[in-house]
Amino acid sequence: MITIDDKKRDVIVVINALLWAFVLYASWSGAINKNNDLIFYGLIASALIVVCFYLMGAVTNDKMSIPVLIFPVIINLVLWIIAFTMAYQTRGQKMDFIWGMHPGMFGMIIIFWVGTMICTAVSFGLFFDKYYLPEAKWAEFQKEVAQLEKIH
Amino acid sequence: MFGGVTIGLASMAAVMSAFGFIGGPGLVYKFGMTSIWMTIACGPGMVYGYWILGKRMRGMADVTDVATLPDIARVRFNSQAVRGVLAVGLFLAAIAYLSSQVMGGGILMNQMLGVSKEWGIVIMFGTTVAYMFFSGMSGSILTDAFQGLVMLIAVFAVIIGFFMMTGGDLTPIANSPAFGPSFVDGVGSMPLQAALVFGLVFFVGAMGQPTMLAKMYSVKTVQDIKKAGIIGGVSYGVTSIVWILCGYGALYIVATGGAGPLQSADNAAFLFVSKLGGITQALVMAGLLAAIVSTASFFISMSSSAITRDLIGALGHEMAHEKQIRVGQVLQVLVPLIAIGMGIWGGRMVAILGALGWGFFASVTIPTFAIGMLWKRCSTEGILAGLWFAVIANPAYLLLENLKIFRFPFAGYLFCVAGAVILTVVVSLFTKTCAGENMPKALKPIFKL
Repeated sequence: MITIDDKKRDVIVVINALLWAFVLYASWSGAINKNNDLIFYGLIASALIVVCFYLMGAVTNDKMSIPVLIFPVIINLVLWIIAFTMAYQTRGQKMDFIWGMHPGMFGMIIIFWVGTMICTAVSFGLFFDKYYLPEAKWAEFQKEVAQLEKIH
Repeated sequence: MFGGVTIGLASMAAVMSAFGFIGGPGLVYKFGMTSIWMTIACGPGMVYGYWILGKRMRGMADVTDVATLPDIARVRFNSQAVRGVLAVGLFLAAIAYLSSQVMGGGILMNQMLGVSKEWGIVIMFGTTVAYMFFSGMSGSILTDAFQGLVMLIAVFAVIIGFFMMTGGDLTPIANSPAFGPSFVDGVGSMPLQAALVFGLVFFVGAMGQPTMLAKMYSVKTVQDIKKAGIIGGVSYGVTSIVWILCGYGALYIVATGGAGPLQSADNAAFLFVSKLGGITQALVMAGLLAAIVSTASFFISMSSSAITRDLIGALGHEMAHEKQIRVGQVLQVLVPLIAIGMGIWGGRMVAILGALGWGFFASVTIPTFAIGMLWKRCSTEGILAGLWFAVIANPAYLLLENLKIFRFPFAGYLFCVAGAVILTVVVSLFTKTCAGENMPKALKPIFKL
């Protein structure tokens, strides 16, 4: 288990905002100066934004379990970096196809799309009851809420 | 409240629209792979949205008995101003998104019935508004779920048609002098920054789409969060195949000389479908129709309640229920009319209009819900700063672009989403209203989930 308490959450939110700022800068400056490498770093930053939201949302009572940290969080990040690198490095080139697809398209369709879909959906199904929202945690929430007045 | 399967299918149907079924293939025909980044990000992004916000949004249903997203935001930030500005933002974004449905609907009716695009729009939206008068939002969710099923059937027709036609071989497109390798690579022929914006805003932005947020809030049980997330994301992923294969099918037909170059890229899906034969063509057309109607009905309904219930309520005048229904019905006619005006004046492709709406939604909802529900220190002042920025910046950049005064070198909604997130965080760091210990007591258990 790793603890993501309020202080760590503050740091993650600030990092998240900085990453959005960097993506904006990379897109803007990269486009004007025709610097595709900078835009590629923007792509990597976008993968890190996804991680930031995971670190804040895929936790229960400020705790993230190690299996969730690995699958989907880290695996998602790795899949995106591989897919973006394949697409970026092979763009515009005539190359031998893999499974009927250009290597860049293969990276985006198989690794980014299918890979991320499997990563998010399978992990959600697998870890929902055990780590994401255990029955006892929901019951505890409902008990706590029942003692408070509903907001209208 | 609805079960997970209904909510999952309805989420997919409301997100997949003319934007995906007509505009998407058009962009593939024009730019190759670039636009596909939108749709391949969106499917997994929907499941990701449930990972990040699912339980907290569902938890809100136990803390409060309000019904709309701006009202939920009011509860979180204890502010009528937040409710009002968010309502305005959602209304404007819905208009932008609806205008893509308007244009797509006109094109679809033109292809199906041979009527002019203008009459096509009248038929399409006349029918949609008529059934909404009788069904309301709950009817909209049930019909969305059914339309989701129709769309899934259309996908199988497209897959079979595509592989029978092309044998899965994209080489003729790569070798065609009119297209070339950039049409089949991983980035496409748009600039790299376009792919970056599409990938990010459509993955993270999926959790900010009102149809997703509203449905997370309205699932019956917590187990339904799991079902809705997985079914919604995976079924959207499956329907993305239409975007990809119709686009590449049209490219293949033109590259192999089966048809001349298209005058309008928005006709790409219809070119492909026209080569599939009677039954397949009918199935795909039914899927296209379902995609437009399901999305349009949700957004018309949402935008009218944003005004009748939330904006007017935020101004201190809660309308009686019967009056809300009557005014809402008038708005359900007015909203499509405004969307038609915007669609025609903007003169953009169906997919570009859809993307503008998507980005607009993300810029108002990501700060309010993704930051607001995940971060205790997010303050009322912070959210208001982010919301005001988004509500002003989105129409401003569209206006400047349309008047040819200024254009970002990337999709302008990135500026709006990023700006709204940054402002929300920075202002929240220095203000305290409804943040941390100042939050209403009833909301605190949500942050322990």
